Amino acid sequence: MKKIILTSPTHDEDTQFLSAWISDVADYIDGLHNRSVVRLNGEHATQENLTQSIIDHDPRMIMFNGHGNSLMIGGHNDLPLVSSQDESVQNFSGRIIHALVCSAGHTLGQELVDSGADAFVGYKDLFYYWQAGNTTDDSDAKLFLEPALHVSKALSDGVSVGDAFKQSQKMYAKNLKAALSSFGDSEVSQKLEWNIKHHIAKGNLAATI
Amino acid sequence: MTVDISGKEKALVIARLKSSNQSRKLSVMAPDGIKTYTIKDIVKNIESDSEMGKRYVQEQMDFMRRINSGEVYKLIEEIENL
Repeated sequence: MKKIILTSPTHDEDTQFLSAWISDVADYIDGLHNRSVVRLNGEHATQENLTQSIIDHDPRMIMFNGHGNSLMIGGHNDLPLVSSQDESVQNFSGRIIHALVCSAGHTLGQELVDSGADAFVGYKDLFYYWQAGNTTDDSDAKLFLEPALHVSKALSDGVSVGDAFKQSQKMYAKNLKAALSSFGDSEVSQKLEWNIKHHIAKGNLAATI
Repeated sequence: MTVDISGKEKALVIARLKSSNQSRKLSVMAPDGIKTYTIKDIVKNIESDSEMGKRYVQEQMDFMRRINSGEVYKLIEEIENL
């Protein structure tokens, strides 16, 4: 059984909104053969719990959701789950990391790979999404979050890091094309293009779960 | 990223925002400052020349330039051919 840890803090409007989407991903993965999700939700998304869960479950993949910057990925109350130049980076050696947070791909992602992480997929600058409602049926949010979350779903399906990344980029591009041609919507299309341009995959792109 | 944004560019972006769905909100997954902006918040930021407002206008104008030059469509094509 391959274990996957998902962190999903819920301390503000954004993380609560995102958490509903993460539940869909968790259900999807739990429905797959030979996959099991360990979810650190809400106030449980702390560095201490993450470290213990890594020791207990030896996960092949860790998916981070929430806030971040180039040097840190945040959990509950935006407190660091992993930080640059911190010994916590060693916990990710041999693992695949998918970070749906801002900017961690800029510096921290490379540092994690340099410290032994198998691969890192994330964003090297801000990660944006528009929303027009409060549910997973939100048509604006779908354009952003379905491609973004596809990476974790594809990896869980056994797709390689490189192919999961490509599939996600293609979904973004399809949504961008639709936004440009059908809606003429520069707000949505500009942020979709931004996410495409700042989405990165580093490390062993042939790695699979 | 501090740049001079012209009044014409600001007016153009504000006009687009005002014609957009007003119930929309823009979320930014970063740990500092306001993380969710309503359309009204963005317009206010642009009008007051805040860093967020300047960045928003600059990103929109850069994007429009890349659409007009065909760069955005080229990017889509490149990804489709991956």
